Amino acid sequence: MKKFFLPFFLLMLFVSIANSATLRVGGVIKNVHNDPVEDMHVNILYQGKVIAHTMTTSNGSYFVETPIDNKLDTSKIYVELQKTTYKTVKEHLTDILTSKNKNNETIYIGTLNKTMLRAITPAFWISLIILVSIFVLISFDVLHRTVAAIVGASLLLFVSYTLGTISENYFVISFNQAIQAIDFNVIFLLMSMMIIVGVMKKTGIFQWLAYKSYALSNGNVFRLATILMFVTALVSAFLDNVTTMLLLAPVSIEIAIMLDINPFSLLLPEVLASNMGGTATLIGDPPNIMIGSFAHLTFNDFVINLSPIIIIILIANVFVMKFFFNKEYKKGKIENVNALLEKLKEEYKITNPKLLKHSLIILAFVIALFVTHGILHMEPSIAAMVGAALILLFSGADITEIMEHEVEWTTLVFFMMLFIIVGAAVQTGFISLIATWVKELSGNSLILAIILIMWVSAFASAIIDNIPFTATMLPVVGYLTATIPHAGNTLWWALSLGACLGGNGTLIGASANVVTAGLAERAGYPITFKYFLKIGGPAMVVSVAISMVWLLIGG
Amino acid sequence: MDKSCNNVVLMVKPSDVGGRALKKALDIMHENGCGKLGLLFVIDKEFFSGDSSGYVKPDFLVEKGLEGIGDAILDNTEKTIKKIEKGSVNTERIILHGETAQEILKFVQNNNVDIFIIPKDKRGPIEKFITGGDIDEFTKEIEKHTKLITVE
Repeated sequence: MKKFFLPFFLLMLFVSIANSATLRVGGVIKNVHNDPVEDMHVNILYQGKVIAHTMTTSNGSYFVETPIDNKLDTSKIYVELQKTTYKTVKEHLTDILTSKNKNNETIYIGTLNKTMLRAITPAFWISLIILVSIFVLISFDVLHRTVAAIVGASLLLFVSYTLGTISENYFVISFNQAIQAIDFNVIFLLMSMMIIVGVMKKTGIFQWLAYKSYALSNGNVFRLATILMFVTALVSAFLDNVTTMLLLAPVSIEIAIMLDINPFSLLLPEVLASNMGGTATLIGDPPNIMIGSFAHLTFNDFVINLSPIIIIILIANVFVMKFFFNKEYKKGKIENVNALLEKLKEEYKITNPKLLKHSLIILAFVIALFVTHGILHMEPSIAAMVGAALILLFSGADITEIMEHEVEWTTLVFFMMLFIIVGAAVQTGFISLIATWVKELSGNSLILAIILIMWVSAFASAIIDNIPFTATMLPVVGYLTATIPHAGNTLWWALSLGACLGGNGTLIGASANVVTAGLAERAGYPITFKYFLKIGGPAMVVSVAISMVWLLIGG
Repeated sequence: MDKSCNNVVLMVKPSDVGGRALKKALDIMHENGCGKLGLLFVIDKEFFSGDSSGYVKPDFLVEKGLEGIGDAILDNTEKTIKKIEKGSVNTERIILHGETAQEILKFVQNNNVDIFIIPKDKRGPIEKFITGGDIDEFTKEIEKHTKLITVE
């Protein structure tokens, strides 16, 4: 028997080798926005049967190699492209090249590049409903925003792995895609800054700055308000606006009470300036952190492009504030400047000079790293992390205390969950739909796009939380930047200026406004929504109008 | 001296309503021959839950800031009283720490307060919602322990 089978086996092997060939197919799959489509199923069909399968990579490319019959009928090879939220494509593989390898085997090489069209599937509606619901829940404080975001993100994943397992049309986002959607540059930057500020604030430096502002003003209330505006803007360019107001506002209220003037005349210019100052740098306001990370804009990009216009806006708003508060500025009683100065000096002194010295050296080093992070190809979060590590090392701070009390985990989790929710909206095509709509509305005109992005962002941020708004707008502005001729980074600046300055429009427009209102209320001066709108509304309109002109003239 | 008026307490506020409440308190003191006016300020740092994207939670620094504000308000109020009354009214500072309404309630429960005067600024639902500190729901409870006068 063995004698019979061995020749037969060798004969069969020879025939199969003689008939064997290889089919290689590759290409790049993109969507209509020219973005690569990741995780798309690519099936190679021959005579109606799937003979090979692969998936596209993160840059949208795919490559598949499969053994095939040597006598290939090229008219029967098809490539099928499938992904939920995209219309399935089955296309004949034409122009197949033939080659031979060193073993003289035939190699068939085919290429198929494709631009995929979106399909409105149940996954699209699920991501849309959840995104809109989260906006509503957060904006109207129905739920704590972190709770709302966790509910939204977990619901998206739950639906994907239950209904989505039964039918792909319900698959919104995979776990891996969700993890990839989280911008850890933003998370680490925020966390590190929380640690740095958490240690620095214990030195009393911020309140000391407010006292120094009063000392510099020489008892002139208008000069005091102006100095406070610039000091606040400068501080909030490096710290977040809420921290700035929490630390500076009580001193201003106290000064106002002692001068017998309405604290609003100092507080409102201050809070408006804090929102303006935060716009000037990459780390000043969360929308800027998100924009910088998404668009790969450096710390210097922000400083060079936004600081000059913020200084102009601040100067303009000094006059806006003078218009509203001139009576109060003239009313200030400055009978005993020296006595007040002594009291403030005693109350708001540097509490830990050694820690302050260490902190300032480390802060200077961190700022130097921020300035050079573009040259070093280093993410800004690394600069902040180095600073956080150094400050923890040299301050001797209790790490448990810092982690428990200074790092706002709820905020960090909110950001992570928000990135997942927006990531899902990107996956299902909702964001690209908005992008296409905005592009059509602007008619491919950069001028119209600037105006549209800036004013829509400003008014939206005056009403809703500017963090989810910015997170949603990032891919939209990214698309517009890539497709509108000569856009450069202008549209990113339009988004930043609109989203950050818009917060000045209403009492609920920015967290710093709410904090200031809370402090004022506890001091016996409740700020009403209407009153804030009366001052903040014009300030916002003036600021955004100046920004718009600045960008339109190419500033 | 009227037995029912040993202890009048005024919640101090520097606003116009606060000024009217102070005037009312002084009038009551004169009408009833009251002995001492308690000037009360609550250091309530619970106005902000730390939900923002801020790097800092309200903590001892906010409390310290509010202490400074309270000190300034009490200083001013005492000066005003001295100016008006020329030293004929005795005052006492009362500083409480905690949530405004609950601290006031605890205070009137634990102290013999004959008249409690609260200046009340007009606030809409948005302001009440975002800054809290409302004492409306505690008013009835406070009235069980003292005579409450609200000045608007």
